[in-house]
Amino acid sequence: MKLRNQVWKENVTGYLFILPQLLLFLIFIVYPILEGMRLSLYKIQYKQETFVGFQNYSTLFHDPVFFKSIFNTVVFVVFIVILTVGFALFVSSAVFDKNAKYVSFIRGSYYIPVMVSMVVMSMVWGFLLNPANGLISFTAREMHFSTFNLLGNKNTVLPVVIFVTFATNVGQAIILYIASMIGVPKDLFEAAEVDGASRLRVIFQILIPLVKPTTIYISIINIIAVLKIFVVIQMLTGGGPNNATVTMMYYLYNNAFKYNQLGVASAVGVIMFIITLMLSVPQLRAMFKEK
Amino acid sequence: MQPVKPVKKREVYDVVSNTVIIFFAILNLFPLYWLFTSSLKNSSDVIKMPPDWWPKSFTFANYNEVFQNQPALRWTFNSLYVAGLSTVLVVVSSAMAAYAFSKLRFKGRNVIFIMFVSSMMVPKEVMIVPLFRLTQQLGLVNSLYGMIWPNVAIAFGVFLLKGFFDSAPDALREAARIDGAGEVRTFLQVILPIVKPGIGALFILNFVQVWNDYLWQLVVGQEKNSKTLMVGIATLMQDLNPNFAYKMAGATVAAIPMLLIFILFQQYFTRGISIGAVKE
Amino acid sequence: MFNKRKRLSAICTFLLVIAVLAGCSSNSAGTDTSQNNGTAASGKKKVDISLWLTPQWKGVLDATEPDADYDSFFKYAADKFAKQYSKYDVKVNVQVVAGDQRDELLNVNLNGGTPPDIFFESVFAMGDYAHRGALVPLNDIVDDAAKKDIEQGYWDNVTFGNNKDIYFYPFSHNPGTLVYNADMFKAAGLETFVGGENEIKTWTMDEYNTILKTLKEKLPKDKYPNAYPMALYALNNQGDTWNLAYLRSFGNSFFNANGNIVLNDDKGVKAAQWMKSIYDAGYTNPGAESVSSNDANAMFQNQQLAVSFTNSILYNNAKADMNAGKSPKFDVRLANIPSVTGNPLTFTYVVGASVFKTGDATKTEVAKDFVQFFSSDPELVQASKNSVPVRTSVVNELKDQYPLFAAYGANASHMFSFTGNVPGYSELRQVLYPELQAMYVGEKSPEQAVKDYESKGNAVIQKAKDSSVISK
Repeated sequence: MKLRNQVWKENVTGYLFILPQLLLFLIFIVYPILEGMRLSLYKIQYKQETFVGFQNYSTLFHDPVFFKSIFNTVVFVVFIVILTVGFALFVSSAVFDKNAKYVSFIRGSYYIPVMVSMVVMSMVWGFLLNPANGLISFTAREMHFSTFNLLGNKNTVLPVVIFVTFATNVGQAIILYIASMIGVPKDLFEAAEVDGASRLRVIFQILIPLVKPTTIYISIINIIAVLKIFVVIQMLTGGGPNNATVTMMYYLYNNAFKYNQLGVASAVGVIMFIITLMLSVPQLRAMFKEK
Repeated sequence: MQPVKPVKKREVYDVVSNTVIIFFAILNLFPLYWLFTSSLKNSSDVIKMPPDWWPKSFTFANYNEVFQNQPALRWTFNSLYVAGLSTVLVVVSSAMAAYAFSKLRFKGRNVIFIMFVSSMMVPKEVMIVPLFRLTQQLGLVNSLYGMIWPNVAIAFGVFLLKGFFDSAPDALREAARIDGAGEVRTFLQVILPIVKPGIGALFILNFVQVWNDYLWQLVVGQEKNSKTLMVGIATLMQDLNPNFAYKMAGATVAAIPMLLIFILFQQYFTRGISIGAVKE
Repeated sequence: MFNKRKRLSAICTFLLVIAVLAGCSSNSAGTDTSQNNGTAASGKKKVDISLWLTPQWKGVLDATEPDADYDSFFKYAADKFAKQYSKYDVKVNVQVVAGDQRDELLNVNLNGGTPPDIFFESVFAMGDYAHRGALVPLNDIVDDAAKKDIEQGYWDNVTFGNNKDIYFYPFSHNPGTLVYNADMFKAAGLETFVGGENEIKTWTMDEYNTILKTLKEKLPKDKYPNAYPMALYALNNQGDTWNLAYLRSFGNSFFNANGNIVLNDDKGVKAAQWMKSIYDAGYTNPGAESVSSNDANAMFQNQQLAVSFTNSILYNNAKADMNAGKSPKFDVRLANIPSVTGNPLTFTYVVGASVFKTGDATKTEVAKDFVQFFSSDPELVQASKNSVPVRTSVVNELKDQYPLFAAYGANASHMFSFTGNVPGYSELRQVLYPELQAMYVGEKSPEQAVKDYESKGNAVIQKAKDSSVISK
């Protein structure tokens, strides 16, 4: 009797401790997800909702701009994540064993844009790339390049967005890598040195395999972050030229708030939800296996 | 952080790569340098090509204009309030939940935890339509609390802190219980102090994340006075104002608070951010 | 450990200080809302209504007033209204919203059931809300005196649907023209093309092409570095009316009698080809596809463009900026958008207030009374001089002071209706600029862009016709 009472009490205590988080979770995550799925099946005109089945989804799959947004989003995710991981590995493997002051200088210089935020960095790059007044456009014109408006050329605008996002965010990956490389036991390097291994070999054969968990972590957070890429598109290109840089998030936002197509926007949201869930399953599985 | 082999001759690769890295580091900071200096010029000097690399006409008039035309201080306050209060609430709610998941046994514990963690990866922006309708129904549009609550619901903190609670020895808790401490007292006075580094890391990670939560704040804060700094400054770019330097000054104003916080507390920041990741 | 704790407390103190500092300043901003709770001394029932507007003119009557801002007029009008209003104790919350955020804000608030009571804006941008059934007809607040004082043409502009209901109370109108920098013209040796100070100069198409060419070749680079002949932009839908006008400049009628787009003919294609050709020839600012009308306007004010777009409000604001020393001072004059027919192309934005359906009868009543008040009060309607008054009485009273009124009046016969009064106009605007972008960057030929615009645009119009609640 006493034991059962104790179990009951521990149960209640447990629930009380998780209650605030659980309530918020139900209200602000579970409910919106379910409601989003419901809304994606409705046509919404202000306060009036009409059930239309899968019509919103079929609208989406007949809209070339939607496919463009998927394509662009995939391109951004792939290139930005590869660039970020690659460059952050390059930087941190080169500096992690140097003088502490030097390390914090490098770390700081790459991290400052992260702190300054994507919003401000997009504005700055917008000023620099402005076709009429921007410093970059001016330089390109002076050097007689054929395209001076990098934002107006279909072939350059994607690389520009990729570069700006990458340059702004790479600092975070660098900080994480440096921290994890400093944590690698020193005797491993000493052993390699005895063998006469070059620095490059040490990096590729010891360092990179050892920081693999960090690599996975950085890849995951960056994939999720780039998947919802929005700010740089809104501030820098407005999705143009001719929808060349529309992303899924930008497409969702425009449908929801500009074109007042809440049903269609919800359908995009549901599709994005499924994509993120699928992407995170391997990571989650790995996480739970570890424990 | 002593150099591993200070005496050894530098390899060519090492020298080349570090030169490249320093070059890019400086290049990476150039846009910001250019922003700051331009914001101190008058408008006609901003568009002068080739530019003055250092402002010849040194003026703070653009900043005056920003603070006169826009409630920029109010926006800064809003941003600090939203990021600060969200973070405090996240810490409280996550610490409680993480403690329960780590140390208490109750039915459904694992299922609920797995649910929390799986939701972590889904950005709230994908549910922006229903989330915004909910916010409207709750009457939280134009309210800073409308910007705060959805961020508190994200379970990342629970996940992060659980790792720290797991490494706190159970024996301590048992000892406290034997001394007659209740669950709440055990939590607050015995276990919580041990997970302080985790709380510090969560504080920093969450503060930065909410500070940059642009899209949601854009949607919730529609009135001029309920905008946050980032959103407010972004609307300023659409201003019909012939003074280009005014917009640069606005962007600088948006950059300064976090920059200050970072420069003053760099060590603390980098440590917090890496602690957060290493624990994963 | 100690060091760490010290740092932490330093962070907290720092944040706290900033918060307190900012909090103090925010308190002063918050006081005007806190008055809401007070009960009215007069015993009248308190009613709060909201009025939104997009930036129009600064100041109550004039931008030279101290602290002149976009909301000054309505704050003053609300005060005056509340003092003489006998039914309720009214408070009007005035909010200025950016033009490019208008539809986002309205959609969001309409969906949430919280639209503003009154919206003051150009009618063309708001017609869709009438079609969607979101607005209240204003027939009952328009009296015969107003009908007589405001010409029928303006009433046509604000009348929608099968029932011929009035949805906007015309306040002023805002003719769109070109604007040019006469100093730059003179510097390039184009004195003969410069019109009078109070004239809206009409150039033929050939003359205009000559002007652009000469500006490109002769404009002294030392005096005007980094400057271009003409503004061209297509980043978003802002300022698209001028692009629509250019598309008509070779004689295309744009809409047919059924309200469908008929741009895809010889004349329409020629116009598009002309836009592309002046862009390619470097007669315009570079990168039109990523330049917004705001950018172009700022460039003109900084003497980087010789010819740009303007309307009467922008024109007055630009002159005010010059006089206030906010932008370089130069000789600025107006011109018409040229066309091959020789007749100028002109259009105007009728600006006025509309009342949204909020479901609250009291608020709607008060909102309508307020709209009637500021749209007909003899003192307040004087503010319409900041653009061009719709009231004949005001024009007559002020025409000596404002010689441009006569020039605008002379243009009236060349006026075209750029919206064609079609439903779905807001969405239609979203279709044009991507096609122009595609054309400028060379992704589509002008022929293709025109063709695609016509078919996409007509699909939008058809969809909107089907769902319009006031016209079938």
